Amino acid sequence: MDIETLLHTCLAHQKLSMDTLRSLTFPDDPFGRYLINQQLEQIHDPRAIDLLLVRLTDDDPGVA
Amino acid sequence: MSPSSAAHALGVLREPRAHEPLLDLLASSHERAYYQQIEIGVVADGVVYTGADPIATLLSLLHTYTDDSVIGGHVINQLPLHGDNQVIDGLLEAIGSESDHSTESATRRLAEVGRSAPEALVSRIFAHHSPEWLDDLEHSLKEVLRTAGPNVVPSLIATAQSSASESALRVILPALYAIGNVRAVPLYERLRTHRDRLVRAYAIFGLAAAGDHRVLDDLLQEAGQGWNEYELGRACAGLGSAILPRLIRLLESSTASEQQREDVVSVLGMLRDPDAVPPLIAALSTETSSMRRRAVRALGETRDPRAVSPLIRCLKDDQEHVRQWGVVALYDLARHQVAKDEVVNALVEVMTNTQETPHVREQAALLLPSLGGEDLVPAFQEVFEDQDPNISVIISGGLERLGPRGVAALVQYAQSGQEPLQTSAFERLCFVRDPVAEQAVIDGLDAASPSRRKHAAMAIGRWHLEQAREQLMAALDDPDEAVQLEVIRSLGIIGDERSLFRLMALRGEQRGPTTETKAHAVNRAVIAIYRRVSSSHSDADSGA
Repeated sequence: MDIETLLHTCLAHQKLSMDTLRSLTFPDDPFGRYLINQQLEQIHDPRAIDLLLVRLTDDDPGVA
Repeated sequence: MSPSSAAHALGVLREPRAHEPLLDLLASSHERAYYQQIEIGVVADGVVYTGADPIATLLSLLHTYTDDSVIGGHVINQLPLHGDNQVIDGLLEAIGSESDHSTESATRRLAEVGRSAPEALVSRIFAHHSPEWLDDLEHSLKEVLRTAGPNVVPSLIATAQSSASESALRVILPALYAIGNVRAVPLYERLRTHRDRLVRAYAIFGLAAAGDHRVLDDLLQEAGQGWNEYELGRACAGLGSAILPRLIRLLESSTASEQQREDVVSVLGMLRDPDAVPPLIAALSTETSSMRRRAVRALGETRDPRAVSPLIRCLKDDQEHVRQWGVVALYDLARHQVAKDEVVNALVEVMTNTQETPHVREQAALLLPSLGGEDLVPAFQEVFEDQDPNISVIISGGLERLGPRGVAALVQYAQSGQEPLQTSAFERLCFVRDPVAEQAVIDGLDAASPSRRKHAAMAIGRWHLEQAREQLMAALDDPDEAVQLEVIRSLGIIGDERSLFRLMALRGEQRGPTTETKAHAVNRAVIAIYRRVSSSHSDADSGA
């Protein structure tokens, strides 16, 4: 999924599955990571929290 | 940007495992140059939401970051205020902070506590701190109590009447006097012979302000002792006309010091008694310019028409500061409807006088728009067309404040093609929120000068001129990077869904030395537009 598709999905208020979110990486795109974090916040799944914790502690300002 | 969105998400989820990592992230937040204040606030909030006890966490953060104006200031604003002793103690610690921002925020919040829980505040200040601590924070504590207002008066009086130390009284008495409350009179009476000079003086001020003539002699002794002239003046005014002959005698006394006489002059103005006017006019002829300046200010306070002509003559004084205060004093008279036309003419003469110093001309130009209306536009235009670099900014601001005719004149200059009038007027228009100026500002996006295009782009965002969205989108291709940057920022404010996708496409086109700044601006704009568009979608969904 590219960033434009992700944006369309978010604007349409569609929720992505945990597996889809885990598969998404936008290493140089803070907005992409912002959209993913927003989706993770809305998922009631312990794995979402684990993923957010990894994103939080990542030292690379572009990756976290 | 992104770590704070993860921090926000983990805070919303109240995830305790995120608490320590968030504390670490907060500790390193300043080193991360890409952070901005709001994002540090998001991380700090995340720390609080993921902690076991929100108030304890906030207080711990406040203790750690009290000297950090961003984190400390944010935490202070988040603290709930309900007279909790620990919260009050935390804020009292913060008013001694090295950060002015933390000190100001803590002062403001403590004053809020003083209004809702005055007994708790006063008790925490005076019953739980040493005299040395009170001495160190005397100024800030007085400010807290003064700002808290009348609600703290009963607790302050009760504290002062019990076993308060001299240090406590040195905070309480000035605060009570500043708040001004007759309930404190018995306390003033008890302390009017106190051994501490400051305590004694404020007790005398308080009694005088309440009209107690027995303190007249004591009060006169305080003239020239370095008190704030308004505090002294308020005390003298409390004694009414009884004090006037004594003040005049002191002013004319050969044994009075210069400082005493200057204080007397200031106080005479505040009495607003017709009999005070002749000695003040006489004081305008003294050789000391500081005395003339005080007399000028005092005459402005009298609101007496006899002051007008002498003050107009002071506009020719050889000292700039006397002339400058002359302008202010005349303005004071005119705003109270004393000789308004005569004053306006005198101030216009000062403003248009190219032999006068910029400071005095500026002072007149700053005050005139509050006195006159559109009739003053030609006088301001005359000075604006001179384009004296020292005052042109004030003059263009004055034109703006004169109303639609002044703004129309600026629009005309902005479209005149005549430099430097055109640029000067256009830049001023960019700070005016006036429908008359909107189209001229939007047209500025097509100006030849990059500076004008940049100002236009900024103003479009600042004023939320949504009708200019298409022009802004087109201006994303502006050849000037600085203009592009402002266009991006303004699109962040007024952009719609189409702008969002256009900005996302732009991210692949970034080149050149300012790429990083531009990339940040684009990312910020994209997120700002997304939040707005996304929430409007939600509103539409819930409406449906």
